[in-house]
Amino acid sequence: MKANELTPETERAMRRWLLGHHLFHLYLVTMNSGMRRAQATLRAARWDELETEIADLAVLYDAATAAMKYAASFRPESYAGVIRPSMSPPMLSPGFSGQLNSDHQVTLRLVRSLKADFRQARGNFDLPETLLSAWRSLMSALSRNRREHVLICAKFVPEGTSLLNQHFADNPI
Amino acid sequence: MSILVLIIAFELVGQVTAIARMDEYTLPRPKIVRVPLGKSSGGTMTAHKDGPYPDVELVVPIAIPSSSKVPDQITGQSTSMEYDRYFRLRRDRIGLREWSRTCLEVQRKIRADLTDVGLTDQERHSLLCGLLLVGNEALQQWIDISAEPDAGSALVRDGRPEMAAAREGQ
Repeated sequence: MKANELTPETERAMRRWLLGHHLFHLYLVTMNSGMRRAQATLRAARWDELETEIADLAVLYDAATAAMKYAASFRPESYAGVIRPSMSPPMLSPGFSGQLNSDHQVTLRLVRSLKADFRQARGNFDLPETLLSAWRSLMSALSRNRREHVLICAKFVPEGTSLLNQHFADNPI
Repeated sequence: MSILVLIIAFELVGQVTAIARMDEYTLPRPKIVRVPLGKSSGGTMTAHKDGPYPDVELVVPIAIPSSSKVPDQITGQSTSMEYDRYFRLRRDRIGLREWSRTCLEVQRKIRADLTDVGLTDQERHSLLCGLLLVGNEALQQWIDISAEPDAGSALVRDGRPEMAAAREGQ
């Protein structure tokens, strides 16, 4: 695909798609550092410090959701005509998917681990209400992120067939 | 000039930089010398002059997945490396200086394109607060690595002072 084949609209769509993902990765990398720190703080039972770190993580999660929306801020026609083909064979290998985002895989692993630690801490300690409130805010931010991702997918692929699922459908085991 | 051309040009510059760096840090290739094996074998094997790296050339290298797990259907045939390549992510052992530069560059580009993106005021607020925290995190790291000059200069990693290694990566 050559740059001169793009209309101004599809050019802007492609730029936002790539730049929005760059922004998304800045947030993911910062969140991954923050979650490791929060886990250490939790294990040391420093609740005031943990509350601030959890609140920051909630802000970063909402920012990551906004970055996803920024990346997808173009018309579905541009996705169908340019973005999706750019991620499909013969441009790329079959089965290209957001699940290949290694930074996000680390994020999901750290979230699971932090949740398990927090559940244990809640069972063992009488945690301050302000900390519990910050934790609920983080969990809400996670839910918003998942919900928004579903909405973005539905905006671009109403029938709900991702490239990965398409690959499975075309290549049954 | 279209933005894609700019992106491609940026990519080319990035690759050239990476290659230059790699060349800079490439270790000199050690001389290969033929060392006689014991009397019983009667053959020779290759060894490095300045280190015991025998290569008897009996077996060829095999392919091992970089993920350290058996490749499966979950990822299809595409890979995380292809994901990084598509989204123009150069994954490397970068230091705080390059990470900070990355943060500033992305921040500058996003700031220039925040109107007419269809974000609500709340979403724009979230995005900007996130950028503040990304910047705060980097600044805190700069403070941390410069806070203890005595301890920092005494530590050495890869032949360089620890603080320099943290700043520059590698």
